[in-house]
Amino acid sequence: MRLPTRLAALLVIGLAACASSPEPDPRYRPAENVLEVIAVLRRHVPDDTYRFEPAQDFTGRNVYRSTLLRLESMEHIHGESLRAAQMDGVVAFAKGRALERVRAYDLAADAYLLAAESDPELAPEARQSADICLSLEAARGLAVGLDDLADQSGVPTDAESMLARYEERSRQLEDVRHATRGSHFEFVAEEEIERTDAARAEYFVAMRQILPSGDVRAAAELERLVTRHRTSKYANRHVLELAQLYEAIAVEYVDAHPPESISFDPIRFQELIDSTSRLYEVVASQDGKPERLEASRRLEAFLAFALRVDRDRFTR
Amino acid sequence: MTVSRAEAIGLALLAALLGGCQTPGGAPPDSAFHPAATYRVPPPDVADQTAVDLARAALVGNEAEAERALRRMNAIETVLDATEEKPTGMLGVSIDLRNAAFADRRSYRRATDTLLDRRDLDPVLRARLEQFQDADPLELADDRARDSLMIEIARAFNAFVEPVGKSLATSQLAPYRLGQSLARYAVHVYTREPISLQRRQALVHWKEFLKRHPDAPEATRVEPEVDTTEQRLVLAHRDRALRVAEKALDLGKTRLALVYSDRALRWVPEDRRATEVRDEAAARLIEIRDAQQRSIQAGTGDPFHGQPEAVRELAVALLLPQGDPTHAARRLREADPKGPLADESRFVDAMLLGEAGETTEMWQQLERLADSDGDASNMQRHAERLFNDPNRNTWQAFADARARNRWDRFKWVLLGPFSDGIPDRGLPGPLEWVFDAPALAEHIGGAPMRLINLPWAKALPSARVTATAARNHLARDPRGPGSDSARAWLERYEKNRGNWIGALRAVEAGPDPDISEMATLRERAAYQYLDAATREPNFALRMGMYKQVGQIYPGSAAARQAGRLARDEADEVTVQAIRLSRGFLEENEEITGPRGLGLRPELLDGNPANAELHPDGVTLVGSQIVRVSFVGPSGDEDDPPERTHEILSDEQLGRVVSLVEEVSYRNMLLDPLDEVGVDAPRDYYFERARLGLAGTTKPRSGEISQYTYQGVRERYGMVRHRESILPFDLVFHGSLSTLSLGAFPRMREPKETPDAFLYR
Repeated sequence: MRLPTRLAALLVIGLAACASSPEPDPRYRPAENVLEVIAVLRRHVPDDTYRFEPAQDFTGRNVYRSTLLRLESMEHIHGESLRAAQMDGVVAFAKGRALERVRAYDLAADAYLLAAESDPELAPEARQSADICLSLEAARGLAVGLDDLADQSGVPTDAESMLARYEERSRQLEDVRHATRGSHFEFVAEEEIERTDAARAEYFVAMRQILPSGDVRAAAELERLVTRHRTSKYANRHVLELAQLYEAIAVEYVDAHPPESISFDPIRFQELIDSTSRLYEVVASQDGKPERLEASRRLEAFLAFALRVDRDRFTR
Repeated sequence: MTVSRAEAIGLALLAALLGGCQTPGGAPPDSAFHPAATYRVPPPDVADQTAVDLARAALVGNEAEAERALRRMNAIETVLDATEEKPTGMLGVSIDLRNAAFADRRSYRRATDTLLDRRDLDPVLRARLEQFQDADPLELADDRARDSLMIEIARAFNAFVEPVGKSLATSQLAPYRLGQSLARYAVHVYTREPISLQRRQALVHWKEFLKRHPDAPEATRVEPEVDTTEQRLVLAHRDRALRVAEKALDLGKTRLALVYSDRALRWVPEDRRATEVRDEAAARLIEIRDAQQRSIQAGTGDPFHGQPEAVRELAVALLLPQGDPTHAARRLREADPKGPLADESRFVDAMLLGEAGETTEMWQQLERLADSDGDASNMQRHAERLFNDPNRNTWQAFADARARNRWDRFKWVLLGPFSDGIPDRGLPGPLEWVFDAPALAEHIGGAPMRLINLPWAKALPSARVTATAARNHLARDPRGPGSDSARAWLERYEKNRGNWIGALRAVEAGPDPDISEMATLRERAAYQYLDAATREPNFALRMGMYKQVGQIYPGSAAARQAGRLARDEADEVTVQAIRLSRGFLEENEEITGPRGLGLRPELLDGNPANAELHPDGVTLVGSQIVRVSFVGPSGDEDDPPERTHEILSDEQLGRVVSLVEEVSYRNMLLDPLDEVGVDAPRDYYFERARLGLAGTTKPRSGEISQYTYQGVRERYGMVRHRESILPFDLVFHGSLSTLSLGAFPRMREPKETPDAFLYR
């Protein structure tokens, strides 16, 4: 072989070696995109969202919400291709998994039932998930939030019947939790139980000036919330709420008993100040938590309030 | 080179001719979009089926089935490769999906590391996986720990290299500079907190890792780190609290010292220094209480027993509305001019002067009383308290603040940045001075320059205190003897800082304001208000502020301008405008293509003759309407565009917004500079568009998005700034004041992460 020919052959081989891998077939792009979204979702399905904040995807959004939006986008962009590739079932199932983590249990159940219908192999798991979602939705149907109650028939002042309602909802959710132990639904149920306890505390805080010994009851309910959900991702928030209650009571106390008046009791005021500032300090000293900022600013504001009180009525 | 007149005329004519040769813009077409295209969807093949099997297995957590499906996918790719057909492109994501189905969470990380070693990975998938790996708590903790170490190394390195490099031209100063720099570094090492911010971040990440994976093999390495770092954090908290407590004690803020020394003791119980500070603060508090006790203690007997009758007479006169305290006070003084109660009568006289409007005399009398011997006088402390109360003796408070401000300005001229004293490094006093003596001498040398700049210098912080005191005095005594002086000072202060609203307020409140000056100030104040309004980002608030310009300053030029702006913006802003610029559309053909907008290709071919898309591009203006901007008849892109409006079907709009979102987020993943900004109204509109609800309700002003999607080249140009991968900057240094010239490498410290504010 002459030299130029050899050089040409070497060049061809070199170019072939340097060539990048061939472009993928675009017909598989829709399926590839769906697999990518499902992979991201699947990785976060077992996440303990009761103890830890839900993950964020690369867009910085809640990963479950983002999955849902992306799946819907894909249905818009590649609807026909996905149907043709028989991906309806897995897409519906994935939407169910995403919806249940954003508290849309009824829609999640619908998505699971659709998945069961479209894909017989997914049907057993989909039907079971749909049943759990319906149980969660049923428990959630027992409205306990102040807004929901107000929308229905006003916030009831009968504390005993409300307590029974909270207990019933907690019981139903505990049942779901026991039945789903070991699966990701356990975390979902725990989150709902925490919401029920928070709503219960919120009710007693809202009613504390109507019910007998309302302040004591409200503080006890918030303390119960703090104690029962120490491992929750919202544990700091619960402590802040308790601190805010003590702060509100301290402010109300000063309004009702001005420090210069004879009825002002420095010891009682001192107790309220100590409780409030101690709780704020607990949260304010936690590195890396957003509640830290809120707690430290609230503590500053609260100490500024305490400075209004004469020195001979309040030492610190 | 010189150009003759004839040549210049010729050149101008040529330029004009070339300008005239610009191709005129063609008329916009009836529709900018092609009718929706139809597709033939291929029937599912084995690769599609395998993808479904894999997705199904992963979703229900069947690891074995997922593994089988992945093997099938691998075989398909091998066959395609062997037959030289295009790959499916699904292998990488299939492996990731199989990995995601692993029950053990840490296994996923290890499998992802292996996956990232593949060279045929799709760049989008690679970027996503790398992002995930980087967000692992253990990875983050190690990164922060490394940052902490790098910061210390950089500081030590710079402390040595910088003085040497600065002394290249003045080498005789090198030993001095080096000594000073190393001494500074030693001080930094001595006074720094026991734990750095980055180490605190690492601690949080380590703890999170342990919480999430208590049984992971890495836990044995992490646990001792957590223990050590936590101990240092406790010491840092103790030090911080103790520092505040000590400073508070020095400043006489006893209660604060008590609170913070208690806090330090909560972090480290039985800490010796904290206990000392707490005990000292407690002892001082007891002293304060004793002093307070003197004011509230009362005897048990008759308070008038053994006192002259005039005492009782004065008490009664002060309490009863028809009493004559002037007469009673005089009688008391005459009864015993040198007696222990004489100062009571002088105090009463002062009060009566104040009630009669003789405030200047009243304060003079109280000042004399305040200066008397506190042990011999009952009323001295009351007079002192009153005289020094800035809310009552407002004139004195203003005069004191003004004097302090003058003194501060004098110090600033003389000492420059050292006018507030030397920086507190937590060292013993004389040592602090030793460190700063050379710099202080240098700054004293700059005093003449500062004196020249004085009229234009920014107001010192004490000027704000003086302004507050002036306002307080004017509010309490607007027509009093010192009011003109306070008003003149305030007016000058506000004018100097360009606060025409404040200056107008001061002038208006005067007894005899200059009408022409008021008119000028009013115009300026109105423009100041308008300027603030135009900078307000919230539309509703901005409109309210425009309205207020007209209400507060009616008839002013700024009020007319505010009216015009309000009308224009109301027309413009009440319409949504999510803009897809031409640059963005050119860079993302999927959106302009038949599956997206279906934009006619000739609109992007660069030929204005057949109509061309204007750089403004296509705008989603709400409901299902899009506004298309074309280059105008002049063919010049800089001219205002010619606009047409078209309606998209629900289905097409849903597809377009889906594509815009998918494509823009994918671009962001590949190129961090191609960031998608946060805009809740945009996302809300997109969500509704996907559901086919975009046209059902008219959005309120707060729900209107004006987001713009821009191309990367449009944003950053052809060449983008990239940060050097080397950890050094080369610094060239020259100083006229020290006559030095030098060059040296400065080691860059790692940047703080965006969440650093949660650790301060």
